[in-house]
Formats: sequence, C-alpha cells, structure tokens
Amino acid sequence: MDFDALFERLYPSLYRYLHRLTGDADVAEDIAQEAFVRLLRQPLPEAEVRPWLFTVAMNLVRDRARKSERRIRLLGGAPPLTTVTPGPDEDMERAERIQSVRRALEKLPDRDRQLLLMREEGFKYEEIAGVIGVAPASVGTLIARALRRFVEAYKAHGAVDESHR
Amino acid sequence: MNHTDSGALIAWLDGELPVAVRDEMGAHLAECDSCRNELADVRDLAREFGDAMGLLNGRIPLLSARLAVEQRADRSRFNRSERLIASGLAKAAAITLLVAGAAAAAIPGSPVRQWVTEVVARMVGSRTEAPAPVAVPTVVEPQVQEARGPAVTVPSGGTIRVSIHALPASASLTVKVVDREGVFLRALGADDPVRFVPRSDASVEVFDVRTGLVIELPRSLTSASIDVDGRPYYVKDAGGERYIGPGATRTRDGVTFRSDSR
Repeated sequence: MDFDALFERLYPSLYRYLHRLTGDADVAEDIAQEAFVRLLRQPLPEAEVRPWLFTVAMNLVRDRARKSERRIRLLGGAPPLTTVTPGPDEDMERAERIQSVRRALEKLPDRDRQLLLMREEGFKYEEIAGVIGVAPASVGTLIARALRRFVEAYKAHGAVDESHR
Repeated sequence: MNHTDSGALIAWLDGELPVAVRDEMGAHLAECDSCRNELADVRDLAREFGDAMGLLNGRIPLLSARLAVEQRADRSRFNRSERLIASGLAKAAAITLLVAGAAAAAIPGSPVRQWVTEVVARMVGSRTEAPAPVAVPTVVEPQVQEARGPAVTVPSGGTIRVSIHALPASASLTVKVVDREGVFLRALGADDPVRFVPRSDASVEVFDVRTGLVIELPRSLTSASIDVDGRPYYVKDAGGERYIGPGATRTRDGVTFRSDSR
C-alpha cells in the first residue's frame, strides 16, 4: 500500500466530507489527519481503506460531538452557530449563500447529512450502507428523502435559484 | 411495470441498479410521463444539492496536512516508545529490588532477614487455626464443714501470731479474712478437745485439734502469721498475703489447707 498515493487520493475527499459535515475547517483537518495517522498503524487492503477511513472519521466526529455537548451542558449555553466570514475573494452575496447551505445542512438529521455527503464523494450505495449502518436496498430511498429535506431547508433561506425548479 | 419511486430513480441516476432493472426502468420511463417528471424532479434535487456543496469547496491544504500526519505519527510512535521504556524501567527496578531484598534476607542477622522472618511468622500464624481456648480451672469449693466446736476471740492490736501444735493429718485448717475486729478461732468438731492458749494480745497457741480449725482474721491486720508445728502456713506483712501451707485451696472466703496433703 503506497501511503503517499493513498493520501493524495483520499485526503481531499475525507477533508471535504468532514468540512461539509461539521462546518468547521479546523475540526475537519484535525479529524482527517487523525484518521490517516491511525491508518498508518492499521495496514489494510487498498479496497477497504476508503470506507475504513470514513468510518473512523465518523466515530471521531461523534466522540467530539459528545464532548462538545457535554461541555455545552456544563456551561449551560447553546451550541455555537456556524458562521462564515467572507474571504478576500468572496463577496457578501456568496458568503450569504454559503451560510444558507450550512444552515440547511445543519437542519438535517445526522444520518441524512452523512448519506448525502458520502454520495457526493462518490461512494457506492453498499459502502454508504456499511458506514451508516442501514440496509443497502434502502439507501436510494433515504437519499431521495434527504435531498428533498435539504432543498426545502435551503429554500427556506431563499437561496435556491428558482430557475432550476 | 409499475411507476417508479424517487428512491429507485435516484439509484437509477447514480448507476446503482442492476442492468436488467435499469433497462426495464428505462423502457418504462420512455412511455410514462409521470415517471419522467418525477425523474426530472429528482435530478433537479440532486443538482441543487451538488451546486450547494460546490459553494462550500475551498482550498485543501494537502501538503501541510501530509506533514502534520507524519509529525503526529512520529509523536504517537514516540509516546508509545516512551511508554515501553517507562514500563521496562519499572520492571527492571522491581527485579533489582527483589534481588537486593533476597540477598539481604539471606544474610544471617540482617534487619531484612529479621523483618522477613517476622512477616512469615505472622503469615503462618494467621493461617494456622486459632488455638483452642485454655480451659479455665474451676475453683473446687472444698466441703466446708460448719464449725461447731470450741471457739475463742483474741483481741489484736493490728498484729497476731497463731501457733498450732500437733494438727492431725486428716484435720483441715481454714483461714478467712473478714471485716470484723478480733481474731476468731473455732474448732470444727463439737467434740474436739481443742485448747486455745493466749500468750499475749498478739499471740495464741492451739492444741489438740482433731477435726479441723477455722481462723478468722480481721482485714485490718497489718501483720499476721499462722504456723503448724513451726511451719508457716499463712503470712501477712508489708509484702501482702502469702498462702504457703500444703494443699492450699482458695475459696470465696479464704484458703483451706488440707493437712493430709502434707
């Protein structure tokens, strides 16, 4: 297994997935790196690496979420809302659209968010079923429902281009 | 073929259906406006989602991430090495202490050996069964006969000496300490031809006891002695009371000496 080749091929996908899932670039980077560090200690057949990486990353996300929820409970506050600060190349309108996407994603149940984001990364339904823990035959139906929920939430922020409808 | 649902349509778009099912669905879609509309709707949903996700795309710091993974892996390996070294050092220290302790324990007279001996003795002692309780000797109450014979009370000024002569082997001598003034002597047998001969306020001699003799001494006496034919049976002085006659048996009231034990 050529680790460098695997890293170049899989890291962008994992990072992108985690960034979209968590809405936090630092968390995504930290978890993606940790997953690859663990991969170094866990030689696997190449075909199994990608689902394994995403499964490990999902477990790390859940662990972090549990700790975060506990901290929020202890502090008695509400979870921080993901905010987007426009970069130098981003105008205000684009920043607002990104904010709408993030809010629509945050409104989805965890499973829907994972389903959609894994599909977006090109996972086969069988792999998605394995990572999410659902029957492979149900993945299509679950994805269709999740797409509808996302678009409804996105529309609620007025960010969908009506010309697409 | 029945109308297709949105789940099957998204699977059809994603190429997740078996070839036979896909062909069958394609034929149905060619003839069914409703399902084509549904397919268009699902395709739009998927495109909208894809476009939205495209907004989130940013620069991915691949090189710095690769370096960070390497550093974290090295740190992880280092931490594991540290744990292994610490574990090895701890084992080595334990073995050294064990060997040193064993060597010290092997030296006769060493404090370690003494300590080990004590510990082992305690362990062995704690494992053995508790010793059976020692039988408490029961006090045998001698058959005290009621004194009915002749008696005499000798006044005492804090000291007394009783000298008994020719006490038969079968006769008993009982000494009691009582809360009463005056030394009281009485023969057991009513027919005993006993004779009490006071020599002074502090001395009396007793003759011809046949059955036995009871002597009651005031507790307030500071000095007393009772002897039989010159042999001391009872002494009280600054050192306390001493019952030294033969066959002494303690009773509730005092001590009885059996002459036949002589």
